[in-house]
Amino acid sequence: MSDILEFIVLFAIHAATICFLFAMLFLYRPRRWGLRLVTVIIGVAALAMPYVFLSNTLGYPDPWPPPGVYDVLGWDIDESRQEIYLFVAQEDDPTPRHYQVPFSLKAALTLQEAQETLSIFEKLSVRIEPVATPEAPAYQFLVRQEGEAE
Amino acid sequence: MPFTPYAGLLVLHTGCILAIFLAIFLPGRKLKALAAIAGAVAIWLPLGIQLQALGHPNPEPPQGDYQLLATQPSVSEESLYIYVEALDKDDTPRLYRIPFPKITYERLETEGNADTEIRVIRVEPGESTEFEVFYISYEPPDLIKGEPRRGTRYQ
Repeated sequence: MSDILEFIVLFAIHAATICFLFAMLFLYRPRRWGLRLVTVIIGVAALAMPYVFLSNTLGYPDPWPPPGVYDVLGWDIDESRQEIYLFVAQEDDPTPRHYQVPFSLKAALTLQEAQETLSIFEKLSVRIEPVATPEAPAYQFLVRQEGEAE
Repeated sequence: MPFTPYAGLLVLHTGCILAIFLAIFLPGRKLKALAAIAGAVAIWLPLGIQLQALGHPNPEPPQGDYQLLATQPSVSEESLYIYVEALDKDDTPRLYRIPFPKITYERLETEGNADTEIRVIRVEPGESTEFEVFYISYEPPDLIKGEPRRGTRYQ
């Protein structure tokens, strides 16, 4: 099953559980114990659904990276999908992130060159721009000396 | 671990569902009105949670074989962030966070560098920690000959 279809099905199940709780809220007062039990079970299912969403989503690349300068820890170039996946970290945030930027030949060549020539005293960074225009791409790779400010 | 926006939305979602529960089982018109608003919010929250969770590391990697693209240890969080590509399914890279005992880190440093061509790890449920990482010497299958995948496990 494709990811989109799986997401639609999960979202529909979640919406159905909320609708059932609405029905119990306005249409019928659950005096019977059996109906109370069903209401509780469906309510617990509604509580658990976001965790199912999370398990499917966490780890995937974010296609809308926030602007800023990030240290590039790893990357993967996918020419068939026209995407570059970046494993990045910021100095003030200990948790690394996974972002996705549009493929460009210039960027791919920069990454390839960095892989071959980057010394241990240099690090590769990427600057994500707030606004992308046809003249200026949304991101730019920088080679910096270790400890050097942007 | 730092508090993330999707964790905040999860808390909000739990609060909304609990408000509906209260309105169902307790009398009170004001409570019902509050529950109606909570339900209207809760129905959209999974969408927001999903959008906010994109790009964050997954602390529960599914079992399987992955090609290791990069790693980043975090001593302060007792975690190892692994940037991997699944070998047998969707090949979009993923970012996972696994427990980081020092002995595992040393194994990454020594055995990981011993492989020159390709580094493959296997994530399996373990006994002492939630997940354990094993390096396997991975030989890519020759698809033309129809060869099965082979691997040797190091512990």
